[in-house]
Amino acid sequence: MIEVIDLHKRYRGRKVLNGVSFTAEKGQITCLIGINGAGKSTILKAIMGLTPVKSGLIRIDDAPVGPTMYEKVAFVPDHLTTPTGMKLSEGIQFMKDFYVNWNDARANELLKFFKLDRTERVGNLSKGTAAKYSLLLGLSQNTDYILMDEPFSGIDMFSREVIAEVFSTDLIEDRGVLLTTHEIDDMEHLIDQAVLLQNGSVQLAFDCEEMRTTEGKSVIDVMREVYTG
Amino acid sequence: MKRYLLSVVLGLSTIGILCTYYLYGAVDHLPEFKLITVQGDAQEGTGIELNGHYSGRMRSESLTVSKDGSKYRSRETLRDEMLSAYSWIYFGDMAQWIQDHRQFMRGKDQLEGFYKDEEWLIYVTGSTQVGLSVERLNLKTNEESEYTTKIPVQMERGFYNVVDVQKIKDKLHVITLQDTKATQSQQPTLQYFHNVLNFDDGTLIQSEQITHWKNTKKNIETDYYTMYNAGAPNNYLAFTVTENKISDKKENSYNSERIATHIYVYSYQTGKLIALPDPKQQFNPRTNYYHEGDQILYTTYDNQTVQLSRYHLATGLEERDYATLKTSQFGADEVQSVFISGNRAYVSLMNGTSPKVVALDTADGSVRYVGEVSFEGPDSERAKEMKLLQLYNLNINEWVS
Amino acid sequence: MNRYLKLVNMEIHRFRYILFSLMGITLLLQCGSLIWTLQRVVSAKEKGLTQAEVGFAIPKFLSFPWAIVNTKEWFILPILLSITVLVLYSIIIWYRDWFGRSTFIYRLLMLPSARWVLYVSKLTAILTFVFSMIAFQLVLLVGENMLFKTIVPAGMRTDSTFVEASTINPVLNTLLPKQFEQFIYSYGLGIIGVIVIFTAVLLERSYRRLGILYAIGYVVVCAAAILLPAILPALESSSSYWYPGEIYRIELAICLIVPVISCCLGFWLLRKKITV
Repeated sequence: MIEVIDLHKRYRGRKVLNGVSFTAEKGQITCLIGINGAGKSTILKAIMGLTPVKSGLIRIDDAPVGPTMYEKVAFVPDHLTTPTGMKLSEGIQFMKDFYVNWNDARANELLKFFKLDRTERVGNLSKGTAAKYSLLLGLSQNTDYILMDEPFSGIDMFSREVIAEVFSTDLIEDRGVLLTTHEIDDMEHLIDQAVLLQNGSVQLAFDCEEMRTTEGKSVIDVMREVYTG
Repeated sequence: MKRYLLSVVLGLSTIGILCTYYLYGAVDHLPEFKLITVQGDAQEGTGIELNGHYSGRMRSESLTVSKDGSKYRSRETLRDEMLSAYSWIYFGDMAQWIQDHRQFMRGKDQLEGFYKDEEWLIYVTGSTQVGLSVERLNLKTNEESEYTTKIPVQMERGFYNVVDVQKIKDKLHVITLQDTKATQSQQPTLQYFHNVLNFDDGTLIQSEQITHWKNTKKNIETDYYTMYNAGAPNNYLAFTVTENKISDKKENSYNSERIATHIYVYSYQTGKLIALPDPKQQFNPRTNYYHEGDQILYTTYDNQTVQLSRYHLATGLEERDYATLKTSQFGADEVQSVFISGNRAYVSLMNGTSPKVVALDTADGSVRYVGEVSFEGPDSERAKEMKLLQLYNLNINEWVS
Repeated sequence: MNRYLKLVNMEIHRFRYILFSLMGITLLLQCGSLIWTLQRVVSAKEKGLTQAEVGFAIPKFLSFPWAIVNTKEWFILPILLSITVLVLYSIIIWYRDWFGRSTFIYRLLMLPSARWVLYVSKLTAILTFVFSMIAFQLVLLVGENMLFKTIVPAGMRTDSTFVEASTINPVLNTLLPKQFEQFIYSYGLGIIGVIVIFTAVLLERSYRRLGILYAIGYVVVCAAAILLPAILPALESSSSYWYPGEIYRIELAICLIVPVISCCLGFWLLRKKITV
């Protein structure tokens, strides 16, 4: 379980995170929802230790964040993080060199599934293909948790379909997934838990299935209530 | 593994090449010269250094030869440069005092301001604003004390330097060089003043101008300076007054030629300034004067001979040429330079291509030490290398850091 | 240790084309200028021309150090170019991971090893480039000496020691001093410089807007600390409170403290304050 407790962070004088608290369970897909600039990416980066926070606590499986944790949590950012001069195969080799949890067989599988050319240079990929590659690098690690920042944003429709397919396979099944988005449309049927962010804090966090059965509301309905009501 | 090939090859070859350079390539093969003792006490050779250059390379190499071997300038490191800063003050008397009284000696660099006897080590400096600053170290109790005494000065922000310090019974005598007052007829000149202070509390007892030298003849410039005398107690202070003929006067520069040297001696006991009789009828520019104790020694030399002469200041007795040295005595061709330090007269001679150094006892002119520069290497190279060596400066060096 | 070596290898790999280009330019400019200088002197000598007639120096005998000096700035130019590139790269080696289409710094910061390994691996890479360039220059000098012997007939040339050539001008003398102790001083100061630059970059990357001020301020403070003992005697006008031996030891101590503090600060910034 990923626990985020009372995170505070200032950036350029603005309170980006003003007491954010939520949990993401293993085996569940949790989605952070909010408008652009709500702090979603910042939360993911803070969990991954890529940006410091002013105060607050982050725990992963009851242990604080540290270097060994990177074998347990994978991060798929919303942009390319592999040097553009590297070939796809070299990027994979890099991950293989440094991560004990690297699953090379799965990487090859995903290369075929996403129809990627391993000899192509990272810099020559289109946005959609780059997103697939980033996902490949994240999923090929045998981690308990995987964080994804805006996995569908700016991607063409067909690439989106392919990526969405991955979510229903066993690649995702046992893991804890935490993702962010500001466009809920494609995602609604995928997620288990929704966390609504506004003004730097959590307005509402709920189980989607429960919300549908007990109150008959979809995630979008709840969003409308919370953000406009 | 193939991926690491570049890094491994780069790393290993770099280390290998650099090691090879510093083990073999960087050896400069410069010849080693040494000052060896030919006659007399080897200890006398301590501190004797000959400077010059070796021309066996595209660029001539400056070097210093002593009894410890050769020190080439091009082999100096940053450390050598840092350690030799302020080297001009860290030798001779000062070297010993720094060794004995390290803390007291900090920041003190005016050699003339020191006085030392059995009981006290005293340092005096001065400025027109503050007057005289006296720092004293009691050598028996190791106590340090200091005081400042304001001295009446003729010019507010003028030149002010201490040139000699003596303690005579309970009074501190300080000779200073400072500006005189400007008058209607005269610009201010630098003259010497005798200041007497009460040694215990520094109260000023007296401050009197003791010299009144000025330019009297046309186109002749009169220069004067004190002869250094060691920090040990001395009843006298000697002055060298030179007359320089100005020729070739241009806009901002001129040439001058020394035409006469006069020696004046000031006695602390009598307070009188007397001129010593001129040593030779004809002025010899290669005469050097030294004040050692209660004697004024001077050396005169030409290509084949060196002569020592002296005045006894207490009795007024003059001994001209009481000691003579001839190059033929040491199988040498010519005299290069002479100077006196401590109670030794050091003479450097040239014997063909081989430099020699002779140390004479100034008391009687007896030969205490003869050293020769030799080439430490194979005999076959000796003649060639000695020919490429040119040493032309002799001095005494005792370092302290 | 393994991960450290892999990171160093990656950094070397990324820079290899620039490194080889620098070596290539050095080889071309130095050999080219040497050949040109020697050929015109040799042909002038063969024709029996005098210095006055041709307008350049014609010594009685030619030596390899003489040849280097007479190529004037062409010999030194590639060296200065390489130094500039390497100094700039000690800053770019960090910034290239932040800027551009892909931010590699994400990957580097998420590696399952302590973050100081990143710092040390980049430092090692820079040092490897510097030392490999000077090793290359040494090899080049050996080759150029052979080139010299080929172009100049035996009758016109005279021998010289290798070290005479490698220290004949101020630039070479600083890079390849003949005393190993001086090598330690020169490159020790250089390493301290790189470490201070690294920490300054990390300060800028951690504090963004204020960061650039912190970075510049930090460089100024470190430079002042290191220069202080050396210029202290000059500042106190005539006399110096500290004896030269003491100043030397103080300087050594400062030269030890500054890099240690810089490294510790840099490590801490990477661990706690760095932000993507």
